[in-house]
Formats: sequence, C-alpha cells, structure tokens
Amino acid sequence: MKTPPPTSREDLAQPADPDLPPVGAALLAEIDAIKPVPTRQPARAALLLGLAAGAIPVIYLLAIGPRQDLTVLPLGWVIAAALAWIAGVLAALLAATLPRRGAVLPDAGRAGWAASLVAAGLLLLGLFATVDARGSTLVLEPTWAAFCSGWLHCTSHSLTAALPLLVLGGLVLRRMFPVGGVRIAAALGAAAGATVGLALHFVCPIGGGLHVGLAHAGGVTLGAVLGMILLPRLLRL
Amino acid sequence: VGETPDFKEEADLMARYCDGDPKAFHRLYALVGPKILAYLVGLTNDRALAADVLQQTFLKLHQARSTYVRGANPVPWIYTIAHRAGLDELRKRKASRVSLTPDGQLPREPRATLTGAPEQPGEYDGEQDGSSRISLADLDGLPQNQREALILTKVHGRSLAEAALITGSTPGAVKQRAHRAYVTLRQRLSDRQARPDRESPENVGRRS
Repeated sequence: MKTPPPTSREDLAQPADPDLPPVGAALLAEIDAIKPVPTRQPARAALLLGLAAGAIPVIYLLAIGPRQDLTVLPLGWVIAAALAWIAGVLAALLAATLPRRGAVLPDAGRAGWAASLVAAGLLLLGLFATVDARGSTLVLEPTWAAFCSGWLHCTSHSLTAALPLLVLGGLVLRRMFPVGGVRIAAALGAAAGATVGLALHFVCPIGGGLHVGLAHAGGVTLGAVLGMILLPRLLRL
Repeated sequence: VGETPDFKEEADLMARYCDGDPKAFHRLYALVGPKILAYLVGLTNDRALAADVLQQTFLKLHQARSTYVRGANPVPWIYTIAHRAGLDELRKRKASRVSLTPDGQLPREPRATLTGAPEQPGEYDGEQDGSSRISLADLDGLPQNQREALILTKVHGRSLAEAALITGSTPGAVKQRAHRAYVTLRQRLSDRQARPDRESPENVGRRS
C-alpha cells in the first residue's frame, strides 16, 4: 500500500540534529578572550532618537522664528495638526527602533507599514486639512513656477534637516540591519521627514493644501526614500 | 515572536554569554547549533558550505552580541544572522569560478536529507517508504524564497512571524511562499508515486 502524500508538517522529515562541527579556531580564540559587554536597551535608543527629533523643531523655531500667521490661525487646528505630526514622528520612530516583545530585532514589516502609513496619512492631512488665515498666510500664486519654488525651498529644508537624525538613527541601529534593513531605514527616514514637517508647521509662512501636502508632507516620503538609499550603504562603511 | 514562552534557557544562556561566560556560549552552540546547521544545509544544499556558514554565523553573533536585548528569544535572531550569512555565501559562490573534476565534470555534492543529515544509501528507494519522503534534491527548482519559507515553517517549525523576521519578509508572504512550495512538492510526490518504476526518486529530485 502506498503512503499518501504528506499533508502536515509531521509528515515531512523532522529536523534531526546532524553532527555538529566543533567550534572553529577563530571563534574559539574569540571565546577564550571573551569579555562582558553591555546589552542593548531599545527603549533607551528610542528615547535618544526621540530627544534628537524633538530638538529639530526647537532649533528651527529659535533660528527662523514662528510663522507670521501663527497667532491668527485657529489654535485648535494648530494644536491638532502639530499632534498629528508628532504622532507620525513617534509611530515611525518607535516602529524603527523597538522590537516586538521577546524579539531582538525591530520588526521590518511593521517598520515598512509604519513608514507607508505615516507618509500617506500626513500627505492626506496636508492636502485636505490645511487651514489658512486669510490676509495673514502667504499664499503662492497659482503658477507652476511659484509652486515649484516653494516646494523646492521646503523640501530642501526637509532633506537637509532630516539628514543628521537619519545618520544618528543609523548609528544607534547599526549591526541591526541584517535583513529588512531597507524598511527600517525607511521608517527612520519617515520619522526624520515628519520631524522637519513638524518644524515647518510652526515656521513656514506658506499656506495652501498643495504646498503643505506636497512640500511638507512630501518631505516624509522623500526622507523615507533617502533613508532607504543612504542608510544601508552608510552602515556598510 | 513574543508569545513563545519556551525560550527561557536560550535567553538565559545568551545573557550569561553577554556577561562573559564562555561555558554559556558552548552550551548555546550545542543547543542552537544543530538547528541552525540543519537550516543552512537546507538553504545551501551543501553540507560542507553549511558547516562553514555555521562558523561564520556564530562569529557574527559573537561580534554583535552587544545588540542582544536581555530577556528576548535569541533563536530567531541567530536564524536571521545565519540566513543572511548563507545567502551572502551563495551569492559569492555564484560569482566565483566553478571547480571541475580532473575529467572535466562538476564535482557531485554529497546528498543530504531535508533535515541536514547525510543521506543514507538506499534511503530514497521506492521499495521503502521513500516514495512519500522528501530529500533536499526534491527542493531543486523551487524558487529560493519558497525553499526558505518551506524549510523554516514546515521543517523547523518556526512561526510565520519568526520566519518573516528571519527572511526579512512579511508573515503573509511567507505563508504564501510556503504554500506554493508545499503544493509543488505534493505534486512531485504524487507523480513519483504514480510512476515508481519509470522514474527514480533521484531523477524526480533533479527535475526542475
């Protein structure tokens, strides 16, 4: 009588322990000279990056000053939009740095989702939930050239200011990019982009959903892309 | 990953290893090494290469031990390191020159079962129960990602979340790849059972 095809894991060959080779000479020498090392504390890394992220809007406010229409804009909207940006920063940052309970490495899949959702969410927020103060907010002329000029100005801020945070994040998470590193780098980049977006929310005088959506929130997407391109290469150096 | 409660010994050994206890390393090696070696044999289909990569894996683990999070399960992490080291080595091999035997033939790799154990002569004869068993040769022709997913989930019993973490993928993708590989293998086994006399198991395994 023929045995039926396997239908469960038990039907497949079970992993018997093959003969284990002895520890190699190079590794054995390392083990003989072993010293205690401090282990990683992900919460501490997240806190460090969170503090660094928090410093960026403060530096922007001190260096450039608040936008001219800040006092005229509805306070509720200013606070709600700021909280949304902060939530975006935290979601991406925590997904990139904190592993799931019982795991050593951050979850790359979760980090990838966080980067995508934060970028999309903030883009929608910028496009459809931007409020302007008529007469106080600077509204660009409805021309392609004016839009591009404003976009380039704020996006260059996004990328420049996101870079230090991205590099710091890469240093904190070095040696933790064995797999899925691109998605973790994307989450770090999105967090950095959202941090600059938060700063621009308080300092950029240009209004309009198109500008805020594509230049400020677009910085989140560009930050994620920058992280994906830069970090894996940087960490190989 | 976090729901598995039975990794206390591994976590304890890893913590002691990080504290500088060489005995803990050797115990961890004895405990986890066979699983990793079996996985690497499945991944590379080459026992000698797998043994080399195993050494590299534990060397990398040693260098990266400061990134361990106390209390966490180190096993999926070690699998992840091994997976990456194995793929790197496979890539190097693809890019390197091929050694030929004196008569100009490719050297024959020693065969192994799916678990990494050396294959015994006659183990896959159709006269035994071999018609329903799987060898590494049966995985030939499967896409690399399906092969990894199948070995991790069906043979090594890793959860979908763990397998996703190890391979840098998502649980859904791992599930789909493992299922596709499983369907292919079932079809191969069915074909083998239907034609035991015309086609030897070895030939079935080498067909892609």
